[in-house]
Amino acid sequence: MQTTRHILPFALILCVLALSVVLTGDPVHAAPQATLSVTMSNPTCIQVPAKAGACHIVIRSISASASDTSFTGLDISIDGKVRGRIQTFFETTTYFNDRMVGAGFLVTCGRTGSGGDPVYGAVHHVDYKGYLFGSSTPAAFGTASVFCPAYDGTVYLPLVRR
Amino acid sequence: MRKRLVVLTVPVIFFAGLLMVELRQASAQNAAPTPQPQNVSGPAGTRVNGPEALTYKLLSNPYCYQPNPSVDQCFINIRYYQATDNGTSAPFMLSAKISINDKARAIENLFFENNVYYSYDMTPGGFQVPCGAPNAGGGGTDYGNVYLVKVEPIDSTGTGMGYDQASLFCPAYAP
Repeated sequence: MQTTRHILPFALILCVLALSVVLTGDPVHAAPQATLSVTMSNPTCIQVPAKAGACHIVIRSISASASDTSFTGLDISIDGKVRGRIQTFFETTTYFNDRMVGAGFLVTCGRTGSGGDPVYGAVHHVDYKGYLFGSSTPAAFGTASVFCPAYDGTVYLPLVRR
Repeated sequence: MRKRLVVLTVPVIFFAGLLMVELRQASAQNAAPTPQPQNVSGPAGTRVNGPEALTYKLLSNPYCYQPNPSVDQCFINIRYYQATDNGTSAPFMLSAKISINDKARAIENLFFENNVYYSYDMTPGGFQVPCGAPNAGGGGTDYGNVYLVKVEPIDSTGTGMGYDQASLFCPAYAP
């Protein structure tokens, strides 16, 4: 009888503990936001004919990887102007290389020193922005300052009739 | 003695029942995933699956770029596309058609083979399209026109075998 009295509280405590585990259940976790990582390699400015005021910007590669398919795509901009858009199609990755855009993106070479460096011509800001569905704010972005070879030749203005 | 056994047995049975409930919940959480739906539609576009003969179809990274911002001229291309026919049951894939806004721009034919592959370097530079004015496609002032880029395998009777269609924005023409 005395033994039962000693064991009974212990048994009751065990039952209470068991009930607390059952009633607590699993905590509710909010869905984590998708993550996006982007890598850009070797943005380059090329002046193919040396005596030309037109240069081309090419990017050796860009690769992007997201944690889920909410990744909508990647914008490539030069000096704030979108020049390329690469979209995903129910996929979580994007790959871009220089051969995908022909000769590249046309820009002005600029006169010597116009970009702030006494050796080169203009400087152009090349940036990428990666977006997730439902957000106008880029989930990943980066900017590269690309100097171009200089062009100090004659610049011909277009003939405009008035 | 008997009372002692009864007092000890009750919580043991209770815990055993609790353990069974937890195990059942765990197995339900780890149940096999339900099969994917036949057709898929989302912000990226639409994927319509074809007959079982087509065992694999993949469109990757459609893109649009503007080489010269002072000209209303953009270029569309697809980084990669692949379709595979099982080759054992009709219908058999004969070609794959790439169209932009329902206008065929490329047709890739099969030649005693079951697969079709396309990559961007098969169309140097890409397919020329007008860029469009800012927000012409409703994508915001950074973008111009929006284009439906569709890749569709075609069988030997000329019937489509499903398709992948992407809604693609081009950079805006804003001189």
